[in-house]
Amino acid sequence: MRLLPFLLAASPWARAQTPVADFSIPDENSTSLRRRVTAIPVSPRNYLHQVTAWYFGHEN
Amino acid sequence: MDIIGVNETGSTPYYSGMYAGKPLSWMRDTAATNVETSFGAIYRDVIILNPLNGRIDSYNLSTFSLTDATNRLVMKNKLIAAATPADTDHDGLPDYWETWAYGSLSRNAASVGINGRKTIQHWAHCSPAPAAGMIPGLPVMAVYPSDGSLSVFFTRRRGTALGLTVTPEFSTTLSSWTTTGHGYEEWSVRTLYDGSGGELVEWHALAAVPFPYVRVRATLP
Repeated sequence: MRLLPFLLAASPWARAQTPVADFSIPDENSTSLRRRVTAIPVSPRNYLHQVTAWYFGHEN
Repeated sequence: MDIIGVNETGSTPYYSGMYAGKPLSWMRDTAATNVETSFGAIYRDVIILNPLNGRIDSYNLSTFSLTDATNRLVMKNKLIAAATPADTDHDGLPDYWETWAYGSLSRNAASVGINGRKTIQHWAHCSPAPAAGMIPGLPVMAVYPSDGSLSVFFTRRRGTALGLTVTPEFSTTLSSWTTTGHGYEEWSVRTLYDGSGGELVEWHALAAVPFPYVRVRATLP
C-alpha cells in the first residue's frame, strides 16, 4: 500500500489533474463520425471519460 | 480514443482537403477562444488529454515527423499508453474512474452500493453520479409504432478498457438466459458525445416472435 501513491502519480491517467479550459467550436468536417451523429459543437466537456488527442495544424 | 484536428487561428483560406471524406473532427480555432494557447500547444503539436481532460502528453510533428518510422512508433506508443488505464489495486476498475466516482480506491467491481447496484454496473453503463446510485443507461425495450417491432436500448462504455464487455442476454421465461437464437441483432451503435464516455446501443428484433425479456451483463476478465 505504501507504493500506491507513487504508482498513481506515475500513471499518465493520473498525472494531470487540472482540466483544460472548456470551449465550444463547430466541427467543420461534415463527414466526421461526430457530425454524422450529432450537431453538437466540439467541446472538451463532451469528451469527458474518453482519452483524446488534439492535433494543432493548418488546413490551408 | 477520439482524435480532433484544430486549425490555427487566422490560418486561411480554408481548405477542406485536410479532412474531407475522413472520419475525424476538424474545428477552426478563433482569436477569442484561442484553444492553441489554452492547451499550451504550438503548431503541429499533438496534445493528449486524459479522461478528465487533463493534459498528459504531447508530441510535435514538425520536430518528430511521422515520415520517420521511429517517430511513428513513438507516437503510437504514446497513444496506446494514454489509452491504457491504470488499475493499481487490480480490481478491474480504472483508478481514475474509481477515484472520480467514489473519492478513493476502496471499491471493487463487485462492491454493492446502498441502491443494490454493483460498482461494475455504474462503470459499464456510464453512470454520471455513481455515489448517488443513478444508472440511466440500463436497458429499456421500445416498440416501433410503424410496425410494432421491438428494440432494446442501453448505454455501454466505449472501448474495452481492462477487458470490460457489456452483452445483452435474452429470455422467454426469466429462468434461463441466452446470447444466441433470441431473434435480435445489434442494429446500431451511436457515440453519445455527452461527456459520459458512452455509446447508445440498439438491438432490434428481426424474428416474428422475439424473446420478451432482456438483461445486460457487464463482465471483466
